[in-house]
Amino acid sequence: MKKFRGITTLRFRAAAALALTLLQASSFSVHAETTGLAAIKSYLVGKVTTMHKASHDFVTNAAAYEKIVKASGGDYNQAVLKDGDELLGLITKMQGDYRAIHNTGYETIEGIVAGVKPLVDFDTYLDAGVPKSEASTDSPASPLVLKSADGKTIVDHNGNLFHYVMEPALWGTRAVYVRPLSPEASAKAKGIKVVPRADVLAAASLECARKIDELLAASQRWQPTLDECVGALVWMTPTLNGYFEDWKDSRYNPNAALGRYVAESRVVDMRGIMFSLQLSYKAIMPEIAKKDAALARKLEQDYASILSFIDKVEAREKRGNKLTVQEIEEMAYQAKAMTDQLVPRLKQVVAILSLKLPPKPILA
Amino acid sequence: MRTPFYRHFGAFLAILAVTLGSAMADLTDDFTALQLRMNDTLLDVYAGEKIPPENTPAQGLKTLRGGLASDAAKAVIDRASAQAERQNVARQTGAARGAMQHVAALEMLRAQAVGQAAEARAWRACIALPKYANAVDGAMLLQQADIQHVKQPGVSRVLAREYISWQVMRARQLFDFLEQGVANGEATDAFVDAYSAEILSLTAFPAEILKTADLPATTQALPDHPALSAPFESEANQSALAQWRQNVEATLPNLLDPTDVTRLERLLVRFVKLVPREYRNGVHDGHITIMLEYREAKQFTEQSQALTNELAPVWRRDRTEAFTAHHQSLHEGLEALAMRIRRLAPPEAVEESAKKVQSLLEDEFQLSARRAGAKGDVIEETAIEVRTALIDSLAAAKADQWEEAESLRLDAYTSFDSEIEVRVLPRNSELGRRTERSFLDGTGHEPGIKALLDRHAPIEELTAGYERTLAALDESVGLLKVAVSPATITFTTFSIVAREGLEAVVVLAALLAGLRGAANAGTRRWISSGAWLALVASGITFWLSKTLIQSLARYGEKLEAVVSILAVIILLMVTNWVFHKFYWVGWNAKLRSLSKASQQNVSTRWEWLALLGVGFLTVYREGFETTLFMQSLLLEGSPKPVALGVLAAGAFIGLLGLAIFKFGAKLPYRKLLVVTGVLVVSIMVTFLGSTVRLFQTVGWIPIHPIEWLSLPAWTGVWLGLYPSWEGLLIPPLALVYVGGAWLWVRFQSRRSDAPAPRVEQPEKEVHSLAA
Repeated sequence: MKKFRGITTLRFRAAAALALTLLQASSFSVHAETTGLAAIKSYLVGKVTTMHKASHDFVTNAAAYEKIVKASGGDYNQAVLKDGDELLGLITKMQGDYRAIHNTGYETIEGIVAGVKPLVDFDTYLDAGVPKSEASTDSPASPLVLKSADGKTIVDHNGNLFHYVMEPALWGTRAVYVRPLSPEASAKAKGIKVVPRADVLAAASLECARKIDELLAASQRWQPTLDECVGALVWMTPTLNGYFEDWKDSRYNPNAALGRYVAESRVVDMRGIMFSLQLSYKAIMPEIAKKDAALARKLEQDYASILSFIDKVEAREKRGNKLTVQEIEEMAYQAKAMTDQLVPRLKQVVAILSLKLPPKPILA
Repeated sequence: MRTPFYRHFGAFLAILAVTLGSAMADLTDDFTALQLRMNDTLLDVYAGEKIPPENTPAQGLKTLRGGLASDAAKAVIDRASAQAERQNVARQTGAARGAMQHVAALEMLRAQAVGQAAEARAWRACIALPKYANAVDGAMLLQQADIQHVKQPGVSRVLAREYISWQVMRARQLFDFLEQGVANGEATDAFVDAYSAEILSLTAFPAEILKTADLPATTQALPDHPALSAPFESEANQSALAQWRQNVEATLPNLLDPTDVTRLERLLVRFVKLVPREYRNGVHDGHITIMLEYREAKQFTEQSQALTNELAPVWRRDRTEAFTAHHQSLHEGLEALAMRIRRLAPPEAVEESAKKVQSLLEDEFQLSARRAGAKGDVIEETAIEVRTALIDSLAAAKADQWEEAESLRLDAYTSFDSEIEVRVLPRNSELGRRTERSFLDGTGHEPGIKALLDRHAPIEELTAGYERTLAALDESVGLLKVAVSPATITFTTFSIVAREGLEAVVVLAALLAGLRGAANAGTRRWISSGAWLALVASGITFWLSKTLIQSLARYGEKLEAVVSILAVIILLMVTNWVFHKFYWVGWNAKLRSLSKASQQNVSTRWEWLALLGVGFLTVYREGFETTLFMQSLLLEGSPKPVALGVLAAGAFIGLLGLAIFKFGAKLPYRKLLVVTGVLVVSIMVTFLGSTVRLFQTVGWIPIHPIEWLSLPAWTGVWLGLYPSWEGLLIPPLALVYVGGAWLWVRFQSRRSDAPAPRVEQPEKEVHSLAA
């Protein structure tokens, strides 16, 4: 534990304080272009550009996959028996493409995209939209309508692209998107029992690339405002609670998320969204500090605590000893308590800076 | 050459300021680090790890103590440290987590009381907040630029009550978590120890905080830890825990006095009634058509849920049967209502849910929305009325029902003006005027609602205008949580009465200026009688408005406009009387004949009535406006400060009036006419400007703001000048009228070739006039 340092030597502390102040002042002025709202946009465009490349790689790999399957007359068993290694290799590549698009891509910008009106529709389409039957104002229906090349409907307003189509197809968790293999083919495929439908992957990859192209253009056009960025923090920070609940449930029941979140540990997802929120906060922190330095500092500490908490969760998980029920409950409770405090603090920021809190983007 | 001393001293001060600021940041950083360390300690306990003595929470608290400034905070740590010796690590951790909240609060209050706003903010930021906490009010109070305002006891009270409400909410959330853990079979000894200790520590509010919050010290002793044993999920354990919770809840400070409870219950019923109406206005066929209306419906529902939670402890104590039988149904009913709103259910479904909740509140809990008994704190209720009227006004505008929209806007403004604006003005006149103007013409590039409605502005502009007003309304309501000091009330009363009174005195002086001498005594008597009658009438109006006619204030602006236009007509006549010798002659002739007639007890009814009316209207116009202000100022607290202000202003006006009349009596007659003429003309222009503003306020004439013109607030108050085309063009028309009439008289007299009428001097004055 960090011990409290008494004032031992006035000169030393004074000099250190002065130096620190000067350093902070110089860092603000030197990095003016990369801090502030411009930093948020720069980060967003950079990440979407990477996603854009990965989505086009996905298109290429899905096309190659489909070609192999078509070469066997659409018989997946034959395709595996004939070109099993290549087929499996393509599946592995496409899973990597998905991770680059989603886990290390979209999840690291979700806090921004879902939090601002000009971009929120992409979140509904790609990541957050639910089937029409489950929709509410908090969870809007996905507008996704996906058809294969021959015009057959794959999905119609039945969930978002990432978690209701791409992920279940690539990891085989939804029967309608995969084809089962015969025992012989399965043996050739190192025990894999199902492979993704080629037409689903082809349609999904094209749609994914198209949508991410649009997202890239929209990100480049977007001019962030202080109101928007604080609003994004207010609306998106509470969503972390959902991640902590998912993490908690996954510890008790790995199947709790109905196979939607098997790609990576939810810890990675939490870190991604948390990072984008923290980045957004750091960009606007100087404005808050002008009016209330203590509040600005506390918020910075809160976001840093949540991020380090996520690291702690990972560290405890990897320790080897199974987490006790009390540890799991306590960690989830502490995390939720930390995030619950952020919104009232952010609302103080809105009041102090006389900002206009924009309405929740999905409602606006 | 030696460096001057002041340079050394200045450098020393700068270094000291930076060092102290840095030391403050270190201390609160250490505080935060200790809080995080305690969270880790609890996890380690759950994992079965042994905690080294130097890392125990008790040790951490001792290390923190050295940097604290508040003796009360140090005492909290001393108590926690003493108890820690008898506790295991789990209980120590829970108790320390609770104690630290009190330490932060006490440090915050100490710093605020001595005007150290930055330090107060730093400690306030360390306090843990519950979910859905409202932390804006205290934050804004600590942002005030004037340190004297920050130091006010009223601010301490708000901060202390805010803190207590947060920790009571947190305690309830901790209760829920503890009960849930026990019920789900997840509890262990360490879990129960830690959370029961935290709850007990948190709910043991230090006496200093309670005193600052104007709450009585806790008389009931806190219960001991709950006596639970494995298996924790047993029925017996759950019952024991529920009973323990009730015992602890019974010791919690009651932030609600009976008036507050009645007010909140009324608000709850009103909110539930308003939800289906707002929802119906804003949602059609499963789509949100008017976002403001939808958000109001959602907000009112959430506020209903919050109010139910806030009232629960009071109901548990005072409406035990209803609470036990129906509280769960009420909670579920509100949840169902919220769910239907989130899912954009048909309005009929939302209405059905709202009616079920309403029925529970009215039939089972016996609550009513009607105000009972004496007038209480109406700020929140008025704010709801204003908000609702504004939202409905916007809905009407969107539906092209412009007259309806204007009528609703006026309703909203009237409520705001009579109950909220008058209270805001003494505290923050800029906010009060800005909010008022947002209802009318607005400022600069932000047009007000009336200006937007008058030109049938596009819906985006309208929405922005309404949202500005709603935001300013929220700011005003937040400001009113701090009581205004008696001195400020007295000063405000004095200012209002003195200003209004001065206007009346000047007009009367002008009226009576030409009526010197015994010959005019009767005339003077009628005019003076009218003035005295007006004072009595003002007093009666004030009494009526406080007793029989409580809603008089709603029509205040319209009545004021009527009285005002009559006064303007009188002033026009008076101004002509000063400037037009023809009128002067004629008037005087009338007055003289009237005066002689009065001495002979012969006068026509209309003549003495007219004179009475002149004196009456001149004073009653001011008296009526003053009445409206006074009744609202009285609601701030004791009537003594208001009475003092009225007396002081009365004495001031009396002395000033005497001086004016005495000075006027010594002036040569013509000079007196000129002086009073100039005064009357300037007052006439001011009256006319204020009357135009009033007519615009009540919607009788439109408002066209001059966007490029910005005038300070005092020009409106003192000169009747407001930056709208009507406000700047109409008042000078009076001068045009007066000048035009004079020219007409001159033209007529030259045409008739009649000699210019001589100015008749009162007989007595002829001998006293200087050449």
